[in-house]
Amino acid sequence: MDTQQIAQHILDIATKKKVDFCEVAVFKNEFLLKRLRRGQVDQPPAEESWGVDMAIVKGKRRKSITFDNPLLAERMIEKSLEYLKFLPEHEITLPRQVFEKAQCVANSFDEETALLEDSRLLEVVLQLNSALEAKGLILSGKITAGRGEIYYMNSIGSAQSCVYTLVGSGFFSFDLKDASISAYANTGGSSFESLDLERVSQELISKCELQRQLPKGDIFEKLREGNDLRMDVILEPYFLEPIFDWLGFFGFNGLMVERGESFISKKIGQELLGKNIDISDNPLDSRLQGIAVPFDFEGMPRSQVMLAQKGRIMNALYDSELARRLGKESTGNALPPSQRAEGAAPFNLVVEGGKSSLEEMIDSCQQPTLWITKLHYLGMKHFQTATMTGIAQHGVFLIEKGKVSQCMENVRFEEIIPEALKRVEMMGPSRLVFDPMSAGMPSGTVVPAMKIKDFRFVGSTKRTM
Amino acid sequence: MNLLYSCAIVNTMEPQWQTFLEESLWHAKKKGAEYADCRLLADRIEEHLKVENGAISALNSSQSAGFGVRVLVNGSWGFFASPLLEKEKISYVVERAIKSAQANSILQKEKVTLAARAEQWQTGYIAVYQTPMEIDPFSVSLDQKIVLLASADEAMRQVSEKIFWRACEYSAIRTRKLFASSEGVRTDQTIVETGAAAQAHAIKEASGDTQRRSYPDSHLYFMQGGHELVQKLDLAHHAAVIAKEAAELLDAPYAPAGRRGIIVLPSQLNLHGHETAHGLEADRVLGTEWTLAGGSFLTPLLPEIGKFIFGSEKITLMADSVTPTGVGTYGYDDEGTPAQKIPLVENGIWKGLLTSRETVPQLNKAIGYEYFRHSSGAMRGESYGSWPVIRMVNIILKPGKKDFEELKNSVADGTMMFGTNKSWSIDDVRRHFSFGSEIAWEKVNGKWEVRKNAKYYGDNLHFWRNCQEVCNEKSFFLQGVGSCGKADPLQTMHTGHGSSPAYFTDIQVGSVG
Repeated sequence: MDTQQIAQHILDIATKKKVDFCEVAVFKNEFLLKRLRRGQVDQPPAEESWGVDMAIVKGKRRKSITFDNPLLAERMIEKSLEYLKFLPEHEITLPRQVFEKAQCVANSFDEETALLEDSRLLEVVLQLNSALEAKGLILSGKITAGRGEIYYMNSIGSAQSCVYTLVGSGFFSFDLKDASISAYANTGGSSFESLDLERVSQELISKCELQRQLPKGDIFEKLREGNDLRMDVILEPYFLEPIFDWLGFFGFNGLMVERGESFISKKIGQELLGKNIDISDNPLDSRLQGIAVPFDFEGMPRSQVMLAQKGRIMNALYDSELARRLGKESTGNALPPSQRAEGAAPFNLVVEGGKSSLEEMIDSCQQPTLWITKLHYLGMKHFQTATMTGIAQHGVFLIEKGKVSQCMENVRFEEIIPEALKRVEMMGPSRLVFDPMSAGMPSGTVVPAMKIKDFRFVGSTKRTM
Repeated sequence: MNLLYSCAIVNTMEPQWQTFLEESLWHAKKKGAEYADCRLLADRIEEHLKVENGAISALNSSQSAGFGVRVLVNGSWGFFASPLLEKEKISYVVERAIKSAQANSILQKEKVTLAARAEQWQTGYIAVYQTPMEIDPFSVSLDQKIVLLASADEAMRQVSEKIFWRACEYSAIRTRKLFASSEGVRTDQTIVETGAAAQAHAIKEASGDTQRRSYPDSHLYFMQGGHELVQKLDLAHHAAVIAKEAAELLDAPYAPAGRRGIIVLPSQLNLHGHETAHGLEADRVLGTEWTLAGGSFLTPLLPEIGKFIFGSEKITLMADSVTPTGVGTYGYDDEGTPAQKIPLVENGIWKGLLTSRETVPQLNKAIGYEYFRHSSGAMRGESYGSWPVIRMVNIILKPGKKDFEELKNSVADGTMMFGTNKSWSIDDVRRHFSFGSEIAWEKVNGKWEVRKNAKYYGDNLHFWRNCQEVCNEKSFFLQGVGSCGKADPLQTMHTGHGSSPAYFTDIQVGSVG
């Protein structure tokens, strides 16, 4: 059976059981992943999987159900109906709108990638291995390929579907003799053709070579914790992507906004970011390279939602239930039925960039500036101000008078992100950053590199024992 | 409760599952596997209930089943999994795993070897582990669970009008997993985990400032056992306490900044121990985890294991998969190694790592001699489709001798005390950390005064080496963290953590917001 048949079958069962409303999202996917260590495959997870995420409503009672074997449907619904009787009643608004079929995401499926051949993934690894070994470097990281289908259907007649393929990667290079010399790069999209291996190879090699050539330093060498530092920074898209993802989920999630826990709570319409900052949630942006779902999990077709325009906060994100409770309109950002208590979230953040190349940003640095590759372990220190912390990794360089002068120890930042986004001086072109944590849903973020004034640092990794 | 009662030489495995497992191994052997194992998830059911501001905001049931086959061919790993537990699927899944291994062998420079098992497996023996419990959480009516959560919700509502958002949750999970390997190991384990929690959020209308408090912990809280563990939490009583604290925090001064002595309570120290113990996982030390979690500062120190000073002599960290009620407790790990208790750090000296069968020979090579003999039994996969990786079991900071009240009285004015965890971040080799807590106290003129938005941060070795005291077992708190992320694709695992309050000196503190 395909996803549509499964969804219809489940809806039929629910209808027979006389529920007032039923909605069902069926996910089917298969993936291969090669996890690499020292140029060889250390772990090769791979599976075919199904997932059903559904909700039933009877009277003023709602229950969600999730399972991974479609054959369990009838049993799960029957059991849930027994449960439903014991629930206290509360106000539920059933969707009334039947949505039109969503516009397909361009280039979301590639026949050749859908074959999911081990050999295709290993060819990429061999190619990178060979380039890195020639430079005395070793390759670690991962490459994955997947194909999938998502079908959403509800009992009032909305139905949406999409098929997708994806190829994602996250590669690391390490010096053969000194593991503290390392670099990171990722590339991906909906097909093997999307992989930009030339860029990845160049980034992995050039950053390690820079670290080999340059003296090593630590900006906190003579400072103890408690002595914060503010420095200009050039942050690559790998560093900024998780920051914007968190800003999207915790900052623009309508639930967090209405609870007063977001940096935009009671501030929609205000200019909270720099005038050069435009952020939207947009599945149709071509830079996503097909990594998007064109509808939300209430079946509403998704289109561009402006979150911030010229620094001004334009919208928070809502599903229909949140919107009803708060007197707003749904923005088409409903999560799957079992996750609705978490609010509404962006699926495809697009942060507009500029035209500056990395080299131009480096050339422009008159003050000592840190150029940072990647961010590790983001933490939200304070939700209402969107104060975040995290640590730099896989390539931190000091730029002095327009030249890269030292490679630096990994540094920890702690920064009020909206404030930092008022100090963005230059931006590179925005591009897809795609190192997916699973093949379950195609979701990516488009981000530029940014040069930001006076970023705040609070410490660094110590290597002394 | 005695764990011994939960392991038995009684064959509880249904014949159809036995045949399924044997057939998987037979196919794997026939197709050339040097080693094979099959993990069969016979059934995993979950129930989650959430009450927010007096209304049920989530009631979800979920069910999962499937199988995964792992094979070694030409010294390379292969794996494939499916949710379809049908006999016709076996040969397809095995074939895919074998093909994967054959393809991967093109890149294999060092062939995978597995450390010997510690014991000889008796032919025909099926080891059974079942969670000991008094009240099966799935036999407790929904009514009772709703009343439990609604009482806690109401207790919070009554405390203060400043509490604008109340959330109470109840979760139960039962997992039955079966395992068979080509070395003859056969296990049948049923694990039940139950959890509940309450959270109060307070707001100061004038400034918009919000503060939150959680009980028993701010992370998804689980213990291994039945509904009796939830009853012992006394949720409604503690819900009222945290609601009062959340309201008080709104008017509390910010935490001070500077170098201080600090007492870290278990609801924060357990997470600090968790983040530290990631650096004691062999796969991170060997470099497999860079794709998600990072490495470990211990990598270049491997030859110094057994001698390296990790913490003060007060620090003994145990990896323990046998302690009752811990969510890191089981009979056997996901490659058939028995549960055990090993020291990671003993009286301050780094002694051990969380290991698997594959990592033992790799570690010994890096150390230069046979330091490790057998796996520590730490391999777990989130589900049948997950590649099993090294996971924390129950990480226990061994209690010391001092009474908590005595410690609080004996420390100097200016000492800070950190409660329930609120934010966390640590660098990729587990050295530079930053933790924030929901609540903190400062000792002023001999009294403990509440402080808000507190954080402490710095170097992790400095932290553990400056531990002056660990309190005794009277204030020991074992908890389960339900959301530890690792591996690729991301797997979420429950890990157990236990500690008593401990006192550290010369730590940087501050505040945020």
